[in-house]
Amino acid sequence: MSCEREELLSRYIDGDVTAQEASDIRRHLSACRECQAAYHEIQQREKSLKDVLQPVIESMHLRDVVMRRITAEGLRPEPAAAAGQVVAGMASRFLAHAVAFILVVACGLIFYMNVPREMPDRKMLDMIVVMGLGDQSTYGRKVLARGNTCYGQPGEGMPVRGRMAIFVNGQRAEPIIIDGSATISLREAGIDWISGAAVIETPAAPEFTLTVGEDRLSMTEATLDMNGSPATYSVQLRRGRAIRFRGGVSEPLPLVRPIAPRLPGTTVLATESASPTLSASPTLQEPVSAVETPVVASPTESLPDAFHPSEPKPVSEQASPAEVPKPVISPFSGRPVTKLEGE
Amino acid sequence: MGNDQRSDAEVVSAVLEGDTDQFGIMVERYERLMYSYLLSQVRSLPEAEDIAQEAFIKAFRHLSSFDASRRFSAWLLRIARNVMIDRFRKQRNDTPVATVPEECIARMNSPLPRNDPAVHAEMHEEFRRTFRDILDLPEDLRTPLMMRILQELPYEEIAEILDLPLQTVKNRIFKARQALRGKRDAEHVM
Repeated sequence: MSCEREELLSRYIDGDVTAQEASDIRRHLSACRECQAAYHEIQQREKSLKDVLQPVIESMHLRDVVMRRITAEGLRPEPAAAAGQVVAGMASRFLAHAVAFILVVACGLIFYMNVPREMPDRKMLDMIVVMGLGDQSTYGRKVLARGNTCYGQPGEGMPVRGRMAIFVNGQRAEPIIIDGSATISLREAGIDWISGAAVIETPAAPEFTLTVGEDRLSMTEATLDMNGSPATYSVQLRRGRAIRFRGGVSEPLPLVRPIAPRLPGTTVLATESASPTLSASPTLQEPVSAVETPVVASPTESLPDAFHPSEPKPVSEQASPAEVPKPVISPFSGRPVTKLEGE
Repeated sequence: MGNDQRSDAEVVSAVLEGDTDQFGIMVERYERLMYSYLLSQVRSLPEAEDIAQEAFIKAFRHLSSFDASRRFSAWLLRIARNVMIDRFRKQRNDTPVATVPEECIARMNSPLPRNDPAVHAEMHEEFRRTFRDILDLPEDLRTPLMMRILQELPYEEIAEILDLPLQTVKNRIFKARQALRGKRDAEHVM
């Protein structure tokens, strides 16, 4: 195809041609196989892009998220800076700066003295917030009683113990729940896993990313058991969906699927480890088939209303209650696990 | 784009008069444009979501400074670009490979009915190759092409948003398509 025609074809696809040009290109397309092929190839390629991206964009519910945040934070359009310009025009530059300085200090003082302590802290809406969900959860050196919060320290490896909610996007989205004993580093869009053993529960939206060394685990509405350090870690997906990205290749993590129960009223879980270094994983010591006691945990449980503007998610599908003769606490999940009879 | 026939200036005016809910119309109108820009710039889908959200919030807060004689789209994307630059400045570049195409496929997998897995897989493969090829293009080619494909913006509007002469936009979209074809042809030869 000549360059001139190719350029015309590009504009024809976008509807940027005169009637004469459109007629010419149509005539040419009916006679030239090469141009026909190019035309269809471009259309097919661009359609594939739209067919995937449009539903993905819709799935992000940006309008709802933005409007909810505007309401939750009580945002209003800021007035145009007209008054300041008038002052600057009337007074000398020095005077204007002095007035502005005094105003800022005065406003700050008034604000500080009058803001009721229970008023939502604007900073907390924009920062990573950690909230204790257990009696004595700890984040770094901070002990968090149930419902107590502190700011997360992004980029710093911090030991965490107990059960806590982490709002990686400030308080504008559902939190991630972490339960166990681990060292993690918080980021704005996710968490870096450093070491330890913990159960991580993620909300339906937004998508959550756990970085483990070079790997990235992207998950929605998932419950993961994490164990180990990036060099030798194991991960088990108990609920939801998770995809591991490694060197540009994606691989869905296998779900620990329920298989036919061996005992009445019990659910047997076939544990499929997705660990890249299975031999180093303590989870291998767990039974291949095990009875799981019910684990009832919602990502939004026990949270004050202000922290979950949307409806609480239903409790995930979990194993049904089982008779557990000798409960053993799993070093992996920190939850009771009992071997089946005959195992 | 929704059924609201009012102009951007009219909707913005309603928001500034106190009807803040109307801002949702602007988000709906321009979310695709926002993502057509961001998805070709960032390395992950959550990053694009974060920046898009932040850009709309900033636009809302500074709505009074929007000049109604200009295009809202151009003003909005300038804000998005600034948010993105700020973000990249703060963050260390710890994601070596852009994973947006794979993340998009993962995100859309479940809601679609899978009546024909073969067609489904073929569509995904075509999408993955196309998107990867677009991401390999130089930024000055991929941005106008993405705006054209996703939002179907006329050349004139793309030119105004990107602050480029009209003819330059036409040339860049044509060159982007030409480069994509060239790449595909080269793959066939191999």
